[in-house]
Amino acid sequence: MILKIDFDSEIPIYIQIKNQVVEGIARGELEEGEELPSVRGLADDIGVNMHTVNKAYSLLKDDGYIKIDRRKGAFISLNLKNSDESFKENLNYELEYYIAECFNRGISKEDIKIYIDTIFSGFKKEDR
Amino acid sequence: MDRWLFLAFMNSLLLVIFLISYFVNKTSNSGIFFGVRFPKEYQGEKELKDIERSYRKVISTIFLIMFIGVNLLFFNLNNYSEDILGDIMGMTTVGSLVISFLVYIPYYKKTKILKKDKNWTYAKRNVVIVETTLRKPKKDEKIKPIDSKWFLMLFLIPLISIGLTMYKYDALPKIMEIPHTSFGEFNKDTLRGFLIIYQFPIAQIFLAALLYGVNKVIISSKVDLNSGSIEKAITRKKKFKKMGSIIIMIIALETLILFSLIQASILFNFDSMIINYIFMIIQMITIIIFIIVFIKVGQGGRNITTKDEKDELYKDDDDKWILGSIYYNKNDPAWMVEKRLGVGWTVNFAHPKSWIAVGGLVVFIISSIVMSILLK
Repeated sequence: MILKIDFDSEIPIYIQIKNQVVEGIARGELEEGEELPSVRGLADDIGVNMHTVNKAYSLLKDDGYIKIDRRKGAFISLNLKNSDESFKENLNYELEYYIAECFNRGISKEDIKIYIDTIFSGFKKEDR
Repeated sequence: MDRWLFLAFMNSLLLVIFLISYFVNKTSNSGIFFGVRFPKEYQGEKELKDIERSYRKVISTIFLIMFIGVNLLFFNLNNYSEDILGDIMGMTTVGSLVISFLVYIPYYKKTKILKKDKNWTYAKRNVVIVETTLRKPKKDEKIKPIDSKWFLMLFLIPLISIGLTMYKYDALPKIMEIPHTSFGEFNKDTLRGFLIIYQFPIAQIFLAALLYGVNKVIISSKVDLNSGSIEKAITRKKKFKKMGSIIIMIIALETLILFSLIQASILFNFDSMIINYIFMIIQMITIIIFIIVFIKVGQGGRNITTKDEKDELYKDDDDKWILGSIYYNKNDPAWMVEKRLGVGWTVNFAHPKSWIAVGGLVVFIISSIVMSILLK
């Protein structure tokens, strides 16, 4: 998959990497079992310190998106059950915040639904 | 070395260096013009074409003079000894490379001034594009370089030579005739010795290791995704990597088999002269095909056409390239990168690892020269 890392963004690089990998999995651009570049390789390509990539990979590993094998390196392996509970807690918190923002800005429930539908249709493309 | 073979070799060498100099822009990464990066919309401008036209005239004239000069020198020699021919070859190679670079420098400066005067650049958000499958191809990917494990198999060839040599060693005569080859002449009657007998298998191991390393570089070096459209650039890079590793594999096989045959001629006492010539010719043809393919394909595969483009990549990195050809970027953790000018790879001189690599290469070259003197 193509990673677009924006150095002018306020979002830290490791979060950008992590988020884009998660989105890539949802879009079907990254398949189960697919190998990711090595930490050193990805750090070279992006032009950042190895710690940055390491941080992104270990977050992905903790959430259960990837596994790190000593020989193969990092590869996609979904095992999200363990982190489900903490995720739902987080989802509730974030969603409440975002919907509050929308509400304050006068974005209606229907509009939010349209946003959600568009995003979901992007994910469903691969017929997973 | 046979003098006519030498003449053919020297002239094809000159031709190759001429071709890579003449097509310097066609073989550089896309968007690079005399070592300076241009956004797509300005790449067809008349001023740039004029600079290129003038460069091509100058480089053609200079190489024509060199070609005539070297050939005149050759035909007026009264001593065709190995040493003198070797000196001419060395001087021609180094001389033509240096001259070609010296001709390039003023054109680099002209191009850079032109870009600055016309302001042919624009600032884009500082976004870096990375394609993960360039390093780790998907399982069903068709366009990918040859896996390193196939290159490991190359070591089987020297192992077989060593095994056979060990088996035959005691049966070899004490004083033996080493065939004189294109790789240098040895004293005809040489005392049987470990180094003499094993020189070709040892050379094979070095060669296999070298080409294994080159393939590793092809697989894992950082690619330049700073010009052109994203999709296009990625497909081009993939094709380029695949093509590069196939060519390295072919050269590896040709050379290793040739060395094995020479070794066999020592062990089984037959004349390897003809085999040697045949292989030299095959290799010359391979290198010429290699150059033609790379001029057609261009650095990082820029001349391979793919479907139309969507969003353009453009990142102005001219200040990281001294004279448009020496990479010095403290902020880049990568030490192996694609060359800016022409086809191949170079090192990031701001990275300590590159100094070790360059130093190692220098030590290797010096030690092999010392060894060849000792063997004589």
